[in-house]
Order: sequence, then structure tokens, then C-alpha cells
Amino acid sequence: MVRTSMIDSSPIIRMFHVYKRYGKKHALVDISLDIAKNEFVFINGHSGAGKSTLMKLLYRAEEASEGQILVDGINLNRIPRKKIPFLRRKFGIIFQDYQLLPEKSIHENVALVLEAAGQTNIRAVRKKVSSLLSIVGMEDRRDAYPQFLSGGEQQRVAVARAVAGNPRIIIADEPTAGLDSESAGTIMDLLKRFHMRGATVIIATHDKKLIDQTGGRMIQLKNGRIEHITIAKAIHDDTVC
Amino acid sequence: MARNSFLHIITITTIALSVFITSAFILCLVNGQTFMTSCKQGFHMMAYIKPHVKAADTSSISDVIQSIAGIDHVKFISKTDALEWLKKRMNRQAGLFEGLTTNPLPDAFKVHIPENVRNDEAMERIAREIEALPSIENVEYARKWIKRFVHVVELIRFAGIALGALFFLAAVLIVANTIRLLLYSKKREIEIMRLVGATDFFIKTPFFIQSMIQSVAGSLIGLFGLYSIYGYISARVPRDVSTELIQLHFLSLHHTVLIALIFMGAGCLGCGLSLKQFSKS
Repeated sequence: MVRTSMIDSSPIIRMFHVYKRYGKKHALVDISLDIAKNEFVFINGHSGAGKSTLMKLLYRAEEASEGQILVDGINLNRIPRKKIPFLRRKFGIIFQDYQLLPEKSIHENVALVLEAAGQTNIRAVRKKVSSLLSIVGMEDRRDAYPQFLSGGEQQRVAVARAVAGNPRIIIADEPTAGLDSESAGTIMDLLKRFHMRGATVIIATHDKKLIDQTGGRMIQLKNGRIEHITIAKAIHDDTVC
Repeated sequence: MARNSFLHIITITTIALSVFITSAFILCLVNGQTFMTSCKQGFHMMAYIKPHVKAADTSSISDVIQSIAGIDHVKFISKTDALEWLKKRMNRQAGLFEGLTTNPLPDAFKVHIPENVRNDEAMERIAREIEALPSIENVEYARKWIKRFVHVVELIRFAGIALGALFFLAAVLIVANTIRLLLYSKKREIEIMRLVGATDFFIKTPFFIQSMIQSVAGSLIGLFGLYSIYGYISARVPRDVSTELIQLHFLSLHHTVLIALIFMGAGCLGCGLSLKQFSKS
């Protein structure tokens, strides 16, 4: 089944001549791009191309050495330190290594996002977490700890955690790396599902096959520069919404 | 929590010891000051009459003493009354008086000095003037030992302030170290919390609460330890010694709350320092 989500052409992310340097090493060079609201974008490139750095700049885990970045109208060069947590709540972040807290149960890991955002109603948090865990198919493992889950299961929990705060943008850094094809398919299906619900999805991957299978737009990076940007393709959605 | 239980125990123990030692000094100081106040309230001189002076002359001597500037009132104490009073006070050592055939005590005047005149110069002048009277053998008052006691109380005060400051600093540093170690052990958790949009307030509050709990627990243990030792000592002070002058008191509620609050402040300060340092790193 091929679906095309309703893309709002107004950009949610804008980058103007962005550079990132680590000492003498140039990680990103003159990056200028727009990502529209509810767009599905892949950032592709080999290892060391600057994919992860570009993602980190967006949620201000790293600061640009030069240039301007606007996220949902906020200029990241001017954002005060105190406002960074509020910027990050616009994002749902999925890491290659899942980054789940080993001392917290699955339920607690997902609930953390809601609690961090100031949600104090325990019943509402429990309800929301249960609903998310059931969407990602992990409801029956809610009391398990991350170390007792497979990689695919951990990544499903990470997806649930990423979308818990109803983020406007989902960022996934190599979300399927190290997963078997079935688990990778499940993760991609989940991401497409949340994209269909209105989120902008940005995925960093070196896997071209994955991009071809999914659709969307691809930004190709090479040695920290944009090599080329493809025209957006329809999202191939096999999931049931 | 359990993983870091050793750290918590060390922190609470250090705070408890700091509170215990600081409070012990404050307790000594408070009781010393109470004792001084009692001394000053009941302050008097004893003017002992020469043995050959007739009882009929005591009234006129009393009038002469009363006329000396700076004296509130004068009371005659006969040697019989003095011996009776001494026997009452030393009833446990009654055997001492059994062999007495004559009363060895002299007649005396108890000279009360008003509070505004109780300074060294005035006291010495009054004592000199009374001693100059031909019927008076000598004059005694507790000037020297009160002076010495004032020095001891002052010494305790300074030592208390110095040690209190030292232990406050120790509490700040030990809490700071505990929190620093906790922060490093939870570094990954904190980083993830930051990435999911947790504010500094959300991240830091549990550490502040933890250091406050440690401070309160340490303060309570320290104060309870001091109270137990105080109870043990005060129960063993002989009743002969425990007169109106020496009445031991434990720290007031005001003092205990203040001590607990100061060490809670130390805990928060230590925690704040570590969090600030951690935020910068």
C-alpha cells in the first residue's frame, strides 16, 4: 500500500550555511536545507559523513560553529540554556543503542518523558504509557527491565519513549542498525505510523535499501557536505493505522 | 539507593558527628551562661566580723556598711545560723560535724550588691571600704573564680564557633562529595533525562531532597546522641552539687531547630556546589 501523507510545505526545520568543527576537523560544511512539517526525511551517508552531528545540532546536543538553525521558529543560536529542555520536548529521539535506563522498567522508561515534561497525574501517565506500549507491542513486558529484552524489543520501547511526549519531530539515528530484518521492519512500520499521525520524521541511516523500501526524501551527505537531495517519494505504508 | 548505601551512611555519620560536637559546645555555652546569670542574680559579698566584736554592736556596723555607696542591702548572719545552714547543705557528710565542740564559723554580714554596680572597680572599692572597718576581719566574694569562669565560657564560645564553622565546612564537603559521586554514577541517566526534555529543576530536585534527608537524619542522630549523653550525665550529677546555681538544661527547641536548619543548609550548599560543577562539566 502506498500512502502520501499530507505534507505541510512550511518548514519546521531550517538550516542556513551551518558549519560544525571539532578542532581542525570539519564535521559539517555549509549545510543549508529546509525540512517541511510532517515530512519523512532520510539523512544518508557513510560512517563519518556527518549524519549524527547534523541530528545533534537540531536538538542542541551540539552547537553549530557557524550558521543559523531554526526549529519550529526558534533560532537555536539564541535559545537560552534554560529553554533547551522545552526545545527538546519538540523532539522524540531514537538512538542506535536504544539508551534505555537499565535501572528502570520498560514502563518507567517511557513514563520518564511524561514526568520530565511535568505530567504529575500518575493515572494519566500510566494510561498513556500502556497505550503506547500496546501500540509498539510491548504491553505484556511493561515490568521487564531493558537488559532482559532483545535489541528489537528495546528499540520498540525506545520508539514508544520517543513518541510519548507527542513530539512534532521524531529523530532516529540508525534505528535499525544491528536489528534483524523483521525487527527493523517493525521499527520502520512504527515510525511510518507516527509520521501518518502528523510527526515529522528524520532518520539517519547508511542503509540505502531501507530508504528505497520506505520512500520519503533523502539528503545525501558526504564528508560533511550535502552531496544531493532527492525529490520526496510517497511513503510505502504497510501498517494498519 | 542501595547501591550507594555506604556513601549515604558515611555522609549521615559525618553530619551526625558534626552536629553532635557543635551542639555539645552550644550546650556547654548555654549552661555556662545560665550559670553565670544565676551567679550574678544572687551575687553578694561576705564580710566576716572579728571574733571579739559584741553581738550588740552588729546593728551599728550594719548601718555603717549600708551607708557605703553601691550597696543594696546588708543582712546579718550569726555564726549559729551559718553552722545550721552548713549542716543542712552537707547532710550527707553529717559525720564531719559530730566532733565539733565549738562553732568555728564567724559572724558575718551578707552584703548584696545591685546588678548595675557589679563591675571589678566598684566591687574592689566596696570590699576595700568594708575591710577598712575595724570590726571586719576580711571580705570575700567570688570575683576571681567568676572572672576565670567568664574566661572559660569565652573560650568555649570561641572554640564552639571555630569548631562549628569547621564542621559546617566538613558537612558541606562530605555532602558535595557524596552528591558528586552519585552524579557520576548516574551520569548516563542524567544525560538521557536531558535529552528527553527534563529541566534542570526536574533533574536536580531529587539530589537536593536526598541531601536534605541526609542532613536531617544526621542532625537528628547527632542531637539524639547528645541528648542521651546529657541525660546520662545530668542523672548522675550529685544533688548536693545541683543547687539553684547549677541547673543543667538541654538545648531549647529553638536551638535544636536552628542547628538542624544550619546543617540542612550545609547539605543543600554541598549539593548545590556539586550540581553546579556537574552542570559545567
